[in-house]
Amino acid sequence: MNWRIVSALVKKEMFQIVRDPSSILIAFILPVILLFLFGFGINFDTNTVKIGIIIGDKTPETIEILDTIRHSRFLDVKVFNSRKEAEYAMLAGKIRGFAIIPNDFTKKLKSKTKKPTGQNAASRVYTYPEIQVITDGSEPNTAKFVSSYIQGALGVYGAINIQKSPKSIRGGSGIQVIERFWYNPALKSTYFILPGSLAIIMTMIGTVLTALVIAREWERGTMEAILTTKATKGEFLFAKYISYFLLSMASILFCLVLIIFVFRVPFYGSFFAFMAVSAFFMLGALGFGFFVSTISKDQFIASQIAGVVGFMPSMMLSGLIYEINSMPLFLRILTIFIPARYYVSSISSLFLSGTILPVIIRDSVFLGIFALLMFILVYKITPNRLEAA
Amino acid sequence: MAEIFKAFQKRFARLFALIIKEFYSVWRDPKSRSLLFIPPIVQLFLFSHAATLDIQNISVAVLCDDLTPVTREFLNRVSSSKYFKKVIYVKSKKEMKNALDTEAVRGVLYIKNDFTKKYLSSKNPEVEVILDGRHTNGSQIIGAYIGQIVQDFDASFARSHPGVLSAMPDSMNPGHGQILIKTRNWYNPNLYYHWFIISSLVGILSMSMVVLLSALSLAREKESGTFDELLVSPLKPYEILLGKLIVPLFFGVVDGIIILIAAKFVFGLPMEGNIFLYLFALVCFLVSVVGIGLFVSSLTKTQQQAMLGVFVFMFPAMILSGYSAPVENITPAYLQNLTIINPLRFFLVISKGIILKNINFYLCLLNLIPIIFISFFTLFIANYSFKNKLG
Amino acid sequence: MQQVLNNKSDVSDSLIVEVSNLYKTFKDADVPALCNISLSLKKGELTSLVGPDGAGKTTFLRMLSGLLIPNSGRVLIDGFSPLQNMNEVKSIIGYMPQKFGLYEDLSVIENLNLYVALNDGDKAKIPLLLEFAGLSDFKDRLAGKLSGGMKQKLGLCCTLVSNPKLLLLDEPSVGVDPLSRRELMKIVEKLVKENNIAVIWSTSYLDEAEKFERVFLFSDGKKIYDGSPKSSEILSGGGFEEFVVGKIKENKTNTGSVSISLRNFIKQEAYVETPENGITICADGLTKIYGTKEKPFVAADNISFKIKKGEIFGLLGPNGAGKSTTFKMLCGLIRPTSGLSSIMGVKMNENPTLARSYLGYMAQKFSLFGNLSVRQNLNFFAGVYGLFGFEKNKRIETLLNFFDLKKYENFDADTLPLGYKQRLALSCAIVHKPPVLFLDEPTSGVDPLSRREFWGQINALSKSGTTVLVTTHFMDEAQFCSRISLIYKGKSLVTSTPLGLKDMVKTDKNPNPTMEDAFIELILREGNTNADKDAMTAPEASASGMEDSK
Repeated sequence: MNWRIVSALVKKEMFQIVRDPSSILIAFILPVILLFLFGFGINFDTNTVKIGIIIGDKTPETIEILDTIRHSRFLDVKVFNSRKEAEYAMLAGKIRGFAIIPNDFTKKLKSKTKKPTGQNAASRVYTYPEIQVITDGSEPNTAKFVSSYIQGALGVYGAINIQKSPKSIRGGSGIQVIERFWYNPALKSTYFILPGSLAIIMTMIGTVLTALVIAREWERGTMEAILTTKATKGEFLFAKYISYFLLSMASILFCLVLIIFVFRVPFYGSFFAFMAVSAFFMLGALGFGFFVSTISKDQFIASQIAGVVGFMPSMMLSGLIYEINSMPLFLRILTIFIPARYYVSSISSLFLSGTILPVIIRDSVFLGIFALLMFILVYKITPNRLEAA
Repeated sequence: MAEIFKAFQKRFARLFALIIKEFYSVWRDPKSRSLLFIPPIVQLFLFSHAATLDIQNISVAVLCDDLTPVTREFLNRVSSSKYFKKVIYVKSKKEMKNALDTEAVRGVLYIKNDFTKKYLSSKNPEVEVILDGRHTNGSQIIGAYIGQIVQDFDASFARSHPGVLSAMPDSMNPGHGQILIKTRNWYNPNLYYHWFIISSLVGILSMSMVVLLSALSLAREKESGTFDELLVSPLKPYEILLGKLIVPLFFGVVDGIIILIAAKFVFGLPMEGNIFLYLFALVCFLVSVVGIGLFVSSLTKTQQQAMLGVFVFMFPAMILSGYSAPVENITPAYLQNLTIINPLRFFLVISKGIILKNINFYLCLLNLIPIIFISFFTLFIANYSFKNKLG
Repeated sequence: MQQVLNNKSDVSDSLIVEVSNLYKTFKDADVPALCNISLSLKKGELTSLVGPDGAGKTTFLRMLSGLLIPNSGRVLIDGFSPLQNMNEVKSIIGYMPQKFGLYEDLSVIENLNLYVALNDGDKAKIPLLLEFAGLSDFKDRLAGKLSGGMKQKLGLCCTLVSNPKLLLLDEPSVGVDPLSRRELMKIVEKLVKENNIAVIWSTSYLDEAEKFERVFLFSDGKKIYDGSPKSSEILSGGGFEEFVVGKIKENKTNTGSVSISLRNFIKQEAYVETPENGITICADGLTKIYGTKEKPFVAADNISFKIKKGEIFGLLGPNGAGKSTTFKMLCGLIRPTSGLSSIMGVKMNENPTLARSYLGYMAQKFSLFGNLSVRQNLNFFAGVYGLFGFEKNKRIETLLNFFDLKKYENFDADTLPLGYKQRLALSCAIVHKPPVLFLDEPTSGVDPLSRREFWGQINALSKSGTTVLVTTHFMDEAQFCSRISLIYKGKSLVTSTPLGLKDMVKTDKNPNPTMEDAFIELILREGNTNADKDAMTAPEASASGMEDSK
């Protein structure tokens, strides 16, 4: 490798990058937009769910229940007069579910102290007061929240009531489950989404930046000129890698600053480890971009490939939004080949729990292998003449 | 009369020629032809399986400082639970931290040494559940699973040990003071997540194809200079617009129908509402998407810029549509207002509404009106940009 | 020059290029790109490689430089094979690809620095090269903003940095005005004389090739002539052009047979409608100003002319003179800052749709729908101009036959040879029998035979009453026009007949000036002694960026 040639080529790439406003736009403006979108747009912490409630018999007891439900900070409650109204509101998507307190609710509630009818204690039958909850299953996730929030709110009601009667203690032996969330005690989903979204953002930026740069050299006839000089294709590719690598690392650094200082996501890991993993990841993403650029002469097809093979899988299969473990086996196998997956796992650890070497090393190895394979592939398909020998 | 007929025929011939040309320019090349259908179908199958917010195949760890028959019984229940792939026993807090750190497990059940003592004397024994906060969503669900196991255990252990139970006062019986909550999930009784995903994918996949097709086809003509030829021909700007509109629209609708058929017959989604209403809404939606595609390429000069513009549109459109996370979750709340310029947001409501909920025409229309507004606006701008070019 | 290129002048008779039985065929092509080519070149020999588009010129040059691998046959460059000794060959040759291989977003000096480093050359040589090419004053200008002539010189400099013994120039004069072409020729001649460099200069311009001592004539992948363009055989046969056209025809295995006679065709085309005063195209004070008020850029300055029915009117001028701007204003693609244009008496600004329905338009670079077949292209243009049914099919059939496109009917327009592309573009433009035909650079890059045929067709059309407006930078084509307007730097210098123009510059010294002489002389008279340097950037290029800012 002739360093004079490489440095001249790198210089050339740098001039081109600096003079093309679109590459600066892609590297520094686009990530800001995307980070804001991810930061604000994808939020799994359901704030409040709108629900309806229909009260069959208005008694002090049911009013109390209504009050408790109203006090839940997760629920935004609207009272409906008839079931029909509530059903329509749910159909229209105005509420995500509703609870019905039936006519005989108070009666049953009061009768609960009656002696059981059976003889054996284990098989005694009680007539519990019932509340029906109907959810909008077309949003399965929210539907689950609706039922569990109402359950939670009514649990609070039960606890208060029990405390009122001095004799009562809790059901069973009253095992208390204490939940602790390590790494993210406040359980903010943006703490996970934002760093993880770097994987998707950088996949996209790396691909878009490079997807057309090699095709452009062929189109403008400069590739032909370069091939007749002393520069080898190795030097040519190496210079391309270096230039776009530096640009995209600058972009990553910029994103890191934004995430830490603007979005205030804590960062516990080591900066060095972050840069190392990012470097491995970026080399692979750039390699993929160069690969697309080399094989596709048609820009329409290039952008389709970039979207279908690059962006969508890293969005859906990286474990950022959907759990990889929960996917069917063939998809879990497929995710092995998706570099964004390793990057997401390393980055979220680095941000929220610190430098966990086994994770970092495992992910870096996979990312490194991917980057290497991409480089070999790009090197193989880049001819040193106008046609393959 | 004959004159008018002739003029009409001429106009029709012009438009027809344009549409045929647009059709062939995507259809003739086998590569671009296959790109029309294969990516949407592949993505449909991949993502409908990928997208689940359920938690399966997760391992948890147990750290038990109190080995007694009671805890053994309890841990047996945890191990045999269908929720977890593996239950690993760790011996120390250090080991526990290591397991969590490396994501070998997602949660740890920590039973302290006074558990049995407290349990048997009904002194509110504690079980600590430590969860991996890096995966907020999944961890919450794991927490809920463990809570469920604990409750079940508590209830049935008491029941299977009548001695313990009878020693307690009545009010301590399970269920005492409890209100029974009966939950039913309408429209999707089993809460299949893929029902939700697939009914959204109809819009998303056909949108991504259509916007790319319309934006790039115009940009390509600009680059190759054929757009000038269209402009100097007697075609009126609105006719050019119509030609550019109909072909992407056609392929978008075909893609949409393919996904719908797969949804019904492969994935077993109910098709509750009126299919014709659905197709009507799909057409309106895709018109607005073509409008956006043409709008994007009226701002750009090259295919590269157009492609960038398409990405810049698609990202926010997908993220702020209620697909990845509900619109009402967007914080700060004023950002939710931004979604009213996103046709996908409205179409997803219609799509889920008709496929799963059988919404009526009026409710459909409520969501259709913004879409129609957006299409008018973007088509107007595209038309204006053609006109302006013509001088 | 001696100090610029430190080649040891070993004036010997040894061969620098030896090619024997070179054969090359590409995948999915039914005819070979090169067929048994044998030739040799001595050191320091200046030669031209001439032939129509698609004759195999570029393939041949790429093979010499090692960019392509022959199927059979042998290439030796100064005794080295480009296949086995790529590195040695790289240091012997300097190769300038089409479009000059420059990075448009790098400045002149940056381009040179890059190529010096890539060839492991000596940086100290750069100022000398700049001086030599007359680019010293422009070394910080971006290559993309140079005029065609300057790009060409810069491209040459970039290939000279490695002290080559063999220069391969692939169509260096495409898109370059005649003044710059002459300069470049002089420079290259000097190089050959002083440094003993051998040159192969490929071109499709016959008048250019004629100036070389030795030409290789290629057609359909075969070498059909090797020798002087001024041999007695040629001179007696009516000149070089006649000779070449004859040779090409001879070699063509499948010469396009015109199945409908020209006369019949003219009859069919006969156009009766005549506007008032017989004026079909009228430009009245057309002016286009780009840029801001403070820094206006006048692309077209008060251009006026009237064209009568059946005339062939030429807009002549170098690249970037304002031809295309004027042209586009006339057909309504650019809105003039001031001034009016009308077609068949209909004002463009009042009823653009009606005005446009009178014109047939053939855009630069024959912009056809590349991924549509020939017939689909014709179908489209016929339909768009309101033809349908039987009438349409009959018309398309006629055109396919007349332009000999029948055999390519189902080919993608992109895959056609350039000459056929041009025919298709013309037939698309006249599919609706327009009274007015607009042709923007209709012959650039097309071989002499096709060009000649093309002008025959245009002539026939004009005889049938079609008015033709044509832009061109080929000076020799001006003679086919009935009248010419000479456009330079946005202004119309003069409007006259071709003979009238030549008369203007007739002197005792040059009693029989060519069109090119007339052109150069008239520009010089305008007071631009250094026309090329001032030619600046092509307004078309910068205009496209400003089109929307009114």
